[in-house]
This record gives sequence, C-alpha cells and structure tokens, in this order.
Amino acid sequence: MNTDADALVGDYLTRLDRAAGTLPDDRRTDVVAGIREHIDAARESGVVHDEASLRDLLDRLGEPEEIVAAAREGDDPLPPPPAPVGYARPGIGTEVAAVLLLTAGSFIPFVGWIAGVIVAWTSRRWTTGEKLLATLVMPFGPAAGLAVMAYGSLAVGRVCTSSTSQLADGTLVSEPEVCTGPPVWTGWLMLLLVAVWIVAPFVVAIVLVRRARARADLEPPTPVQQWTAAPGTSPWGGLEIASVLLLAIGGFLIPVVGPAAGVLCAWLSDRWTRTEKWVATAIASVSLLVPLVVVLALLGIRAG
Amino acid sequence: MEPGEAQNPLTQLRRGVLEYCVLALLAQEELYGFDLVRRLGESEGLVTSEGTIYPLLSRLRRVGWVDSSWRESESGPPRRYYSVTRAGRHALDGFAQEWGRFRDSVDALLGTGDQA
Repeated sequence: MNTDADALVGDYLTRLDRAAGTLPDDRRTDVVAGIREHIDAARESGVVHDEASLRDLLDRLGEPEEIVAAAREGDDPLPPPPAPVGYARPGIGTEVAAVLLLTAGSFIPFVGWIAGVIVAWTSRRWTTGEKLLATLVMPFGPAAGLAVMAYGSLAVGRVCTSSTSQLADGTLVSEPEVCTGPPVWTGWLMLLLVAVWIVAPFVVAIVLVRRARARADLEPPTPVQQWTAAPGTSPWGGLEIASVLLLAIGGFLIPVVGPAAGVLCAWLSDRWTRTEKWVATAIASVSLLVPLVVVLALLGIRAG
Repeated sequence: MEPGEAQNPLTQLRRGVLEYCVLALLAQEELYGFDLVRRLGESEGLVTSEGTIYPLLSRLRRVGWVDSSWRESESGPPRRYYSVTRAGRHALDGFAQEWGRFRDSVDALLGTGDQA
C-alpha cells in the first residue's frame, strides 16, 4: 500500500502547496511543513495503517483551501489589523508626464516638447480645446522662450553712435546722435512677451493638471491592497521631494525654469496644503525674479 | 459573514477560542503537532478541520505566544515540539478570567448553566 499511500499524500501536499501560493513564503513553508509532519507522525505511530485510515486522516485534516483560508484570516490574535483594502484615487500619470515634458522636458531640444505634445493628445481627461491650449500656448516650450530671450538680448540692442567732425575753420561740431536698431520700447515689449512665453507654460500646466485631477476624482476609484501609507499621511512623496530639490538647486542647473518646475511640482502635490504650496511659490518667485530683474536691468542699461 | 458561516453560529466563536485551547493544552505539557491535534480532537466540537491547527500554531509562534524546538524521537525522524512562552501564559490567564465571566453571562441568559 506504500506507493498508493505515498501518491495520496503527495497529491494532498501538492494541492496544499498550490493553494498556499498566495501566502507569504515563510508562512507557506511553515504551514505545509506542519501538515507534512502531521501525516508522517500519523504513519509512524501506526494510527494510519491502510489506505482507508489514511483517507480518514486526510479527511480530518480538511480541504487544502480550508487550511490556507485559516492561515490567511485573523492575521494576529493580538490587535486585529485594519482592513488592508483601500481605494486608490485614479492616477493622472499621463497628464503629469505631458506637462512635465512640455515644460521642463522642452530643454531636451525638440524631442522633449514634441513627446509632451504626443502624450498630451493621448489624454482621456483633457478636452480638444485644452489639448490645443497645451500645444499652442508654448510652441517648443519655455526653453524656446529662454533661447529667444537670450538671442534677443544680444541682437535687439540699439546701437547709438555720436561723432564730431572738424570744420574747415577748425571748430568742432557735434553731429546728431545716430541710433540703429528698433526703438527702445520694442526691446522692452519683446522681453515682456518672452517672459510671458516662459511663465505662461507653467501656469497653463498647473491649470490643466488640476482640471485632470478634478475629472479623475469623478471616475470610480479602484480598490487596491494598501501596503504603503495612504496618500496624505506623509507630506513627502516623489513630487514633493522633486519640488524641494528643484526649488533649492534647480535655479543653478536651469535658470528660471528649474524653480518654475519646482513650483509646478508643488502645485501638483496632493499632500501639501494650499499654504505650503504658496510658500513654495514665494520661495521660487524670489529665485525666479532675481535673475529676470538682473537681465532686464542690464538690457535697460544697454538700451538706455 | 459568508453564507457558509451562517449555517453554524459557532464557527466564529470557535475560531476565537481555539487558540486559547491550544495554549491551555501546551501549558500542561509540551506536545508535537500530531499529538496536540489528537488531544484537541478528543474534545467534541472543538476542531472541525484538524489541518487548520497548523496555521494557528504558525500564528501563535509569530506573535511569540508559542515556541517550538526539534527533539529526537524514539522512532523515526525528529519531531517539532511546541511550548507556551511567558507571554503566551499571560495571554492565557487573561483569557481564562474573561472566559469565566463571558460563559456565566451567556449561560444566565440562555438558561443553560448548571442547575444548582
């Protein structure tokens, strides 16, 4: 009867091991080993001596699924753990990726911004109008605005020359000053337009992400196993850390746009309060405005 | 509650009480799995599926109420013996007191107590 019995036992343990596949590894081995020892002890002790008594033993042990269910329930006899099932807010990864590519990503020449446009148009949460806005408000993104500004500050300056000439009788006569290039006000206008070109993409990005967030919240939530902390319990997620890093050192890496991206991350956060977001914005605006004012002042001096 | 559980109202109660029955048996003497299950099986209506004792033992070990050690046996391979820890004994004492009051209250209400 030994081979038959071994086959029965083997079959039972295989079923048990398979059913226990959903348990954590240490628990699975523990439970299966316990049952195996039980069967071995019964066979040694002579309690199980033929196929009928073996079948009886296995019957008394119960269905493998039943044993696994017992292993899963009431995980701790001490404090009952809170139900591990929670509801995840529908993610807006597509939209966040799109605006990050359209703004910060525009510093990867052409590719970053174009990728952003493609991703934006795949979104289910933006209307066609909003997609057009995302595309047209910032052709080639803030990087292009910055490039035009840099180019403009070199090329748009007025050049004024004054000269004196000596008449035949030896007297010196100042000739009227001659200036070439556009009048002063066009330089300032251009700077203003370009500054808008740099700032507007970030403003639009924040608005569009907030709209996507609001629409995503109307979608049915997906039940998930919550093994990590629920959102909102810790103020530090990926976005928040990225925001602080960008605010702190982003300006050194990419002037103006680094801190602006930091502000963007701050406003995308669902862990920070409104006040905290405004603090982040205030910090950024200092590091954002100082270089802008310096550039404007330098240009003003050159133009004047 | 699942439909199957509604059929036997004692299922839930048994689940909660069984681990203290295991602790009580092990508090008397150290036992290996098969022996422990056989002892529990002697008490009627306590265990429905004997296999579920093993996940229970695993859990009691995880929370530190039960310890286990391997011992040689006269016949066959070594056996895993289970014993109660100090924490386990403490938990058992607490439960024994609560259980006395609980049982008396239920008996009084149901009229199932000893007719003195």
